[in-house]
Amino acid sequence: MSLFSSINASSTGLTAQRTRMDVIANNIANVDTPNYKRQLVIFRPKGEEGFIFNIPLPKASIGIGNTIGEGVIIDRIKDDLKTPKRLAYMPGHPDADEKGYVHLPNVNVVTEMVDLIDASRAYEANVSAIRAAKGMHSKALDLLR
Amino acid sequence: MVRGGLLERGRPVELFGSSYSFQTRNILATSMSAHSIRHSAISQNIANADTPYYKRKEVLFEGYLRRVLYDGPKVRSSRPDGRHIPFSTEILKIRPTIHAETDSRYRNDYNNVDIDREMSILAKNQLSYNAIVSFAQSLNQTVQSVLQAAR
Repeated sequence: MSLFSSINASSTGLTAQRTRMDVIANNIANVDTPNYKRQLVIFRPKGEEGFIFNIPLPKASIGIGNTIGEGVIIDRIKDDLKTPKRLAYMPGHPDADEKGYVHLPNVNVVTEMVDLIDASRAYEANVSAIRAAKGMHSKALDLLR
Repeated sequence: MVRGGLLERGRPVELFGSSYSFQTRNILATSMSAHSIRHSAISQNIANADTPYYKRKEVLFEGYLRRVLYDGPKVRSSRPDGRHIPFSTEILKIRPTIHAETDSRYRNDYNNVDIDREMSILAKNQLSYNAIVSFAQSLNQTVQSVLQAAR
């Protein structure tokens, strides 16, 4: 629990959300690239021992408490294999399969834009938290005057 | 050996030791540190607003402070009104506790961080922190004006 732990936690949030925006931008840029797969960013809490990607038991996870953690890190960037890809009938296309279909990626521009708004709002929330921490710290420093 | 003044009777007059400001300062100090810890927890929650299965953290403090002030061991003091804050010696021992709120979910990925709620808690926390600091500042000014008068 150091002086700047809250600012550090928020800054990991900024990094994570910006990476998410980068990945979304990459998805949108590749909206028509044949055989591309949409990528997803998976976050995990940083500095929380015993965190699992599963529903915590109500009593067991209270024990995880007493530490706050150090923000968020990117667990992995994985391909979205569940959303179905788009098939376009273009027999003359060099990437077409034997039936004449081109496998276009499972990127939906509307979904990506909504995700982008979400990431940008989350980024702003982290900025607000940093601003608040800054205000609190400088107010506490004013006590020395 | 300085005689008289502040070192009268062989020991320094305890400006912060026994007066009311001792008690008040301890309350202010523990509250400031608790609010700072709560701010870390809120920052953690906001940073993890998009983490699947993350459960929001909250910091409990005010209840402990109230319990120590009203139920803990006390220094004998005259309290004409029951609402007056009694003196306690245990204030600096209060430790805020951190809990994960595990019994709720806000989204389909089991995350339960409601960003609007966190932002409002952040604003509340910041306001009360600023109030505490302002109060500490005015306490400092009081002591300073006493020192000025003693010159």
